[in-house]
Amino acid sequence: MVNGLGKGGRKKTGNKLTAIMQVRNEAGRYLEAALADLSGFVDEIVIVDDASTDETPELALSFEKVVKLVQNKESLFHKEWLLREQLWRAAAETSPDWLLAVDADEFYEDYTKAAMRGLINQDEYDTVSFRMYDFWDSVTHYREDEWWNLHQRQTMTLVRYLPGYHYAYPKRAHHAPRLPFTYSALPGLDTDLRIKHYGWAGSSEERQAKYDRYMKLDPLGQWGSLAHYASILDPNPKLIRWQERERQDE
Amino acid sequence: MAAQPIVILPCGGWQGIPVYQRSWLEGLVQKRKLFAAADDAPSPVEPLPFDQLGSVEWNSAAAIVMHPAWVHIIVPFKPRCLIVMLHESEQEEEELWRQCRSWLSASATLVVASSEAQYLEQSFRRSGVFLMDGLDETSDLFAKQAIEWHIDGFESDTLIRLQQRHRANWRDGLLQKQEHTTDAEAQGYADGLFFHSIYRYLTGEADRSRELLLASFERMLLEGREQTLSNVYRFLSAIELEKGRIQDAVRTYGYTAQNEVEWRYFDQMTEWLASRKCDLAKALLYRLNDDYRKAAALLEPLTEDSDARKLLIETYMLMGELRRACALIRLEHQQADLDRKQWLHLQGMALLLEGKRHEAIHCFLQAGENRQEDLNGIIELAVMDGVAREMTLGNKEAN
Repeated sequence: MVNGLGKGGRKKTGNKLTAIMQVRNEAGRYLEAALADLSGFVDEIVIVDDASTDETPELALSFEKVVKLVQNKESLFHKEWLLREQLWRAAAETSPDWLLAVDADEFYEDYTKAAMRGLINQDEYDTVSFRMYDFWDSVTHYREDEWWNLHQRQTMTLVRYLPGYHYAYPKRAHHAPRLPFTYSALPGLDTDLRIKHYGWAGSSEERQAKYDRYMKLDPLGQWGSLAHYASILDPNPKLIRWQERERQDE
Repeated sequence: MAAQPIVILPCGGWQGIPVYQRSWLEGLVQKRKLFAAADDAPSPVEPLPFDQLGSVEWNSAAAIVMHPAWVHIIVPFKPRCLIVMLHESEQEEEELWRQCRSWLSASATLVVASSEAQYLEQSFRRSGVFLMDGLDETSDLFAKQAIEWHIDGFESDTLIRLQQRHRANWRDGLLQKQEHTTDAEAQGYADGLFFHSIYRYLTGEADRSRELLLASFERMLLEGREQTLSNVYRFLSAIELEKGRIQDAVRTYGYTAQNEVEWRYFDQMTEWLASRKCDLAKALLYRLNDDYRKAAALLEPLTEDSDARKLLIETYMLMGELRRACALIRLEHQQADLDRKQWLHLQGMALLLEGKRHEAIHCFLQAGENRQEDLNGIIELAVMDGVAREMTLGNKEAN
């Protein structure tokens, strides 16, 4: 170990955790709750606002931990990989140590939040993956079936920012990964720690509207599966009650 | 003054030589006297029996050596030209032959590789390396011309750069054809990008090399390939050294370090940078990227420094430069750093390559002492003797 750093020059103590988020017209949804929640366990927040027409920017700036807000005048929604790159570059300018890629409708379980400092203050791993649960129709149940099983594997949402390390996103108009796929080459930790995704927890009308939007954006299923899109309207999905994990469950 | 004659030391008689090289060698007979240590040598190539190899006037002769088992026979003769033209084995190379190939190539005056992997490996170890793999006619012509010039006593270095540029462009063309095909993955597109990156590194085009390396890295990740961080991405640190960005290069190596040994190398380089021993850090990083040639070139003027000496000895050993490694060890009395058995074995091999067979055997016996299983040097020598004789026989499969 040299200069107080750990393996391969990795910083193992006192790491700064920066949440990164891209948003668009989120003022009336979960954004306020998500930023309040994040403010409780991250050090800084960097946001790219993709040409919102509501009060999203003002809401974002009302949070002290939002250290950088980039506002697009024109939306990059149809070039999602460019939006991802823009967010990555904006975050890199704030000298982060670790980056947590969060959507405006995602909430880390308390148990996960408590583990967060231990996950970043080490020199073994550069990426951390979590289990993401899609809540359905309420914030009490998640969905689990053929099409909705993201929680059965891990999703990488937390990475050590390595200055100069090559970052790249697949050039996808939609469903581009939230973090550079080149980070997947680095040593990673798969955890059973959980994230709650409330994107589908709203009313059936909201889900219908989302379905309509997907069909408009991707009518041929170029960026996602048409069967998956159709499953959004399943009248009887299999729902499982969420059990919050307590610290003593360790 | 043309070096005469040319003696071929084959890899399984005359018929063991690949067809695309055999016809070219047969063509050389029109201009030069050609001998072959092969019992099936076709007229007018003259067969040279194994036991008569010592009767050749080697100080005016050129040897073309095609199997590593010849190393302890041909190197001590000190031929005027020692051209190593080894063939890629389809099987995994045994450790003994890997070492013999390394020693033989280090002693050669010209190396002609038969595969791209062998060619790139040797290009990172020494100058005077050509590729003749039968895949590209123009590329093969450069190699053939280089051999003939070399035998005739002319410099062939200018052809090295020409062949490298040609080969890089050939790779480029191949990649452009593959890029949009549906089975690009099956055609090895990602590997092609990596090879192309190395060619551009060799031709001094660091920016292009970087661009190709990163494209290869991305592609391999998307194909789900493993170990890309150490096998591919790490090479970026060598490219960064070429760009003069040593801090970035060491940092990149740190990202790719994955075990205790590699973390220690990173710490060592960081310490050397902090104490302004930049050339040492650069040399180690070149070595860790298998570019032993650049590592040795940086270390050779620094042998006053004990760290540089140790690193140079290691680098020489990796290059197959036994004589230089032994000289440095002897000079600096560093044998204590090596295990005694290891040192005697190394010294024995160096003596063998100097033609001091009896002294070499004495070293091997000393290394063995009372342990039958430590008589590796003697056993290896017997294997090399036997295989070299076999290589003169036609209709035998090359080892």
